[in-house]
Amino acid sequence: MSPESGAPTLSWLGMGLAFLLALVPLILFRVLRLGLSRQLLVALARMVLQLGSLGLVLEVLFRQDHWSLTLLWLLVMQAAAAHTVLSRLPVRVPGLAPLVGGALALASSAVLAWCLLMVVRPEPLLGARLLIPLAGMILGNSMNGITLALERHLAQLTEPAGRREWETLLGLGAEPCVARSRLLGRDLRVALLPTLNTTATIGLVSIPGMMTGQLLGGSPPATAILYQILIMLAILASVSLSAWGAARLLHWRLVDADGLHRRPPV
Amino acid sequence: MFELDGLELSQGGRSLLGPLDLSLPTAARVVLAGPSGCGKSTLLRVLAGLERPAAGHVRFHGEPLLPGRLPAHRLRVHLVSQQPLLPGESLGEALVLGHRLRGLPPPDADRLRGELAALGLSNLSLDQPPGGLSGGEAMRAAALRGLLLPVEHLLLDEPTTGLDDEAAARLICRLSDPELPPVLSASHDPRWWAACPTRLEFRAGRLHES
Repeated sequence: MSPESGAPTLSWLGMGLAFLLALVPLILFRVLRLGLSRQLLVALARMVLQLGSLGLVLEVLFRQDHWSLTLLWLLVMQAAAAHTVLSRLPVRVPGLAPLVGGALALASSAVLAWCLLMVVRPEPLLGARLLIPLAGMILGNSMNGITLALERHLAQLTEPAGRREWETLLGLGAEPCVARSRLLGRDLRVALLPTLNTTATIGLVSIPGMMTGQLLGGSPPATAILYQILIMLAILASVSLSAWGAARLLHWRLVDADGLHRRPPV
Repeated sequence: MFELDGLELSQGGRSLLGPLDLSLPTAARVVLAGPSGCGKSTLLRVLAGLERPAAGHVRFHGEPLLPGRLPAHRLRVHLVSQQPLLPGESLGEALVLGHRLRGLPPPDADRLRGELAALGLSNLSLDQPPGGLSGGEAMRAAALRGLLLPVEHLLLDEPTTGLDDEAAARLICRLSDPELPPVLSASHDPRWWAACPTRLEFRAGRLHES
């Protein structure tokens, strides 16, 4: 056991042997001629590089443990999440970047603030050890939720079938806000479905990442479980709020107050 | 009644029609005729408040269709488009979607069944999913959905095109009901022309009464 944590320290030799596990998929890919070897090696290299950099950043953040540095890193995480969402969308919508970034930052910050101020009340309040992993879980899930919601909303307003339905609703006399609610309801449904599934089956099969971390770190199972419940609640709140907000803002970019597509059409 | 002031229509940057300065007659049934692609459908969409003109204005009963007023306009005018969509879990739900969206009490099931029978659609059940309707059935169902709405003007895009003679005759008979609001339509179909007292021809970007 290392003096700092409850988990046994991993030796360089041990890690080298761990990488031998990568030979299992590599050999399978080669035998089955799947042509995925290159992709796997690139993915592994990226993982080592990204986690290595994160490790360096976290070393600094945890050692300094100053609120300004922690909040700065939180901003970087939020920006990276927003960038990922935009890069995954099938079309580029002008002016969408600040809206997605804003929705993600506001929703995740509000949920984080609730968790820290009302639920956990840690000392210090903005300690990196709690805030960074909590923000990571919330942002990662919100990022996926927003992507799903925006993809769905784009399909509903820009693809031919979706456009026809939108016009049918308006043509039947629906107020644009009534028609919009129908679309946003569907967006939220697809955005939340993965989180709802995870929430319903959690603990049955998989032990979630943060809980694994806490157990490895030596926390008692009861504490780890309470934290995990907090995380799931925070994720549900942040995913629904950010996905709804981002889809609502995308709608505003695409459609005017009369419900007609803005020019030039996207 | 629709008045057009210097109305110009375009599609995908290509000029289609206009400038038009005229009042469209408010006879019970008016049909616009003209070659495909001359702008009939686009004109109907603009009159229905589903598209903005490239230039100029439309006035309905003297009120210009200004930005911000289109949702209110769409409560007064309804367009039955050429390839209509019938959103809803069941046909019965699809037929009264407009009422639901407007917060109006929908017509009851007996009325709907009677109306379907009048259009030669008594084979359809109100419980069946609307996705399984043929093109001709969907057209008649969409026309029915439209004529049940309490609007001041109905717009129809090719209402009888593709229907067999009996189905077309039944739809024409239903649309000739004097209780219905005035109907402005676009059509290639001489069977429908015969039912319309007023026919306007598009020729070289202008409208001529014939």
